[in-house]
Amino acid sequence: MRTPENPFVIKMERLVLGYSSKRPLNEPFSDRFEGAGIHLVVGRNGAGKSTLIRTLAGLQSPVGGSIKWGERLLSESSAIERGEGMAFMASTPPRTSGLRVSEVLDLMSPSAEFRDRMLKQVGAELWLDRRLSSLSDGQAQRVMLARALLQNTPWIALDEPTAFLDAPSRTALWQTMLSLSDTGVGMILASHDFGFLQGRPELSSVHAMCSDGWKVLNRLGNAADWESDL
Amino acid sequence: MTAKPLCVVLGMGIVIQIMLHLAWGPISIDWVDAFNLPDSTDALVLFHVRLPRVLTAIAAGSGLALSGLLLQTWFHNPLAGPSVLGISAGSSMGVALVLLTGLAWGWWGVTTAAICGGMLTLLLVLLVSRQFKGAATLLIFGLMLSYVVGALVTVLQAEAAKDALQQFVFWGMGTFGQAPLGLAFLMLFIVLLSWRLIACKSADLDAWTLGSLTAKSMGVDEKKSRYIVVGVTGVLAGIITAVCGPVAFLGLAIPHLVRLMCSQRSHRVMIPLTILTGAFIALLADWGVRAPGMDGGGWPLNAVLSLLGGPMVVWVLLRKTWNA
Repeated sequence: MRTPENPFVIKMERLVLGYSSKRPLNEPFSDRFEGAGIHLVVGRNGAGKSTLIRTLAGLQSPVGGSIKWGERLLSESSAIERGEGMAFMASTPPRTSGLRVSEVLDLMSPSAEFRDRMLKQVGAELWLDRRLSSLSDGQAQRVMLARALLQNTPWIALDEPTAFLDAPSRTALWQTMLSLSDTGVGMILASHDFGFLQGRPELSSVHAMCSDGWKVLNRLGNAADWESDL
Repeated sequence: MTAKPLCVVLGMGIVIQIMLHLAWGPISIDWVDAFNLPDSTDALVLFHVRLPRVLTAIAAGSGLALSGLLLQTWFHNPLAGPSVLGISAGSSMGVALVLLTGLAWGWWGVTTAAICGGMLTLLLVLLVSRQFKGAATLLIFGLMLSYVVGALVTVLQAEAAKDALQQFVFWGMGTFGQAPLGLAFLMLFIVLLSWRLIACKSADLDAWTLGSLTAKSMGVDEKKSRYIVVGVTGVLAGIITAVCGPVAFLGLAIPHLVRLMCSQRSHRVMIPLTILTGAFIALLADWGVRAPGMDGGGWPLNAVLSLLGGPMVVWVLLRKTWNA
């Protein structure tokens, strides 16, 4: 497990998101994600939260501007460096993989102790021999969360992680994220489901992607205000 | 069945079939003469007719099965395969261009044309697959590509000379019995090389089944992997199509047959099993072509494979529905 030290700083410089330069999703903005804990990104459907998460994780290229992980330009880092810097949890679970849960987790080649601890954390101990495709969406997402945690990276990017989860699993996910903050992991979270985070000291920043641009919101404010700012 | 005993059973099945294929034929051969007298008929039949045929069948079966598995994983689509995505059609187009326009480029010309045709089609499919979101669209695109290429081949056929046409039609029926010994060994070598290359990537391929974004976030190099998939499937499907004709069904059906026989889905297990099963089924199908006990030989390879493979794929689909 990581020692509690701050993860590298993520710098966005004149960043423009999108799929084609003819249709950029936003005006250029510059900002940074700094320090462990949860960095929440809010925004309406289609505002570009998922695109931001993917771009920050290096899974798609920005249309303009640049991203730096520490002092290193993300566009110049290798696939392996990306895998070591930031784990990613997609908003939907994989639906066609026939792998068993144990095979999925072993891809990260964790120690048995680390694996069992993460499995317990997401409550997936009983599914080790189940096929991923035989689990419900919510169950599969919990396995994918354990997989991301096992990647043992300084940063984790989570795109709507609670979308398929029931209330107890959602609480468990928040608890997991809060306890990760103490171990020095930085988390960038795009979510609509942020009520639980309101007022938490582990919430390091709140940003909004709005039609009129990128905004920094008050992290100590309340969720209703964040919503009304969109 | 777990992987290990299955590998042993398949391996034994392959060895037994190799021996039977070598031993059986309209001409009975004397094994001692075949090995001691290099100029005897026995040696000729063994080393220049039966051995190349067996090696070609093994290489074609395992090579197509491996490309099928790779394509199914890469496109997250259980119905992908070299013939479904139009790669075989692309190779046929290359062959048709060389054979039917009377460019007497010889065997290397045909093979190069087949490999180029196959890879070009695959590149086109890859390019388009980024625009298409759904799995069905990709298959429909491959199907349409096959139709268009088929139409072009028909145009070429209409314009072609009689001899060239006959050669092309014969090639189109598929056979394991055309390659000389050296070529058969070359094909086998390429298959083994691809196996080695892909086996190193089995963890990446496993990660890829979790979705391309997740795989990339785990450190899988998408670009490099794409080159490997295009390179390996293009070369395998191209050279096999050039030598054996557009062989149907093996690429699509073998990975499913493996999934039916073995419950493990990790590529570390799937790759060797797919290769062994491909070789086994190709050798099995060749009995239908060689047809012991029938005068004048059996049916064309593609007829035998379609009769075997068609019902098999339907069965796989039905089983899936019944289990769901």
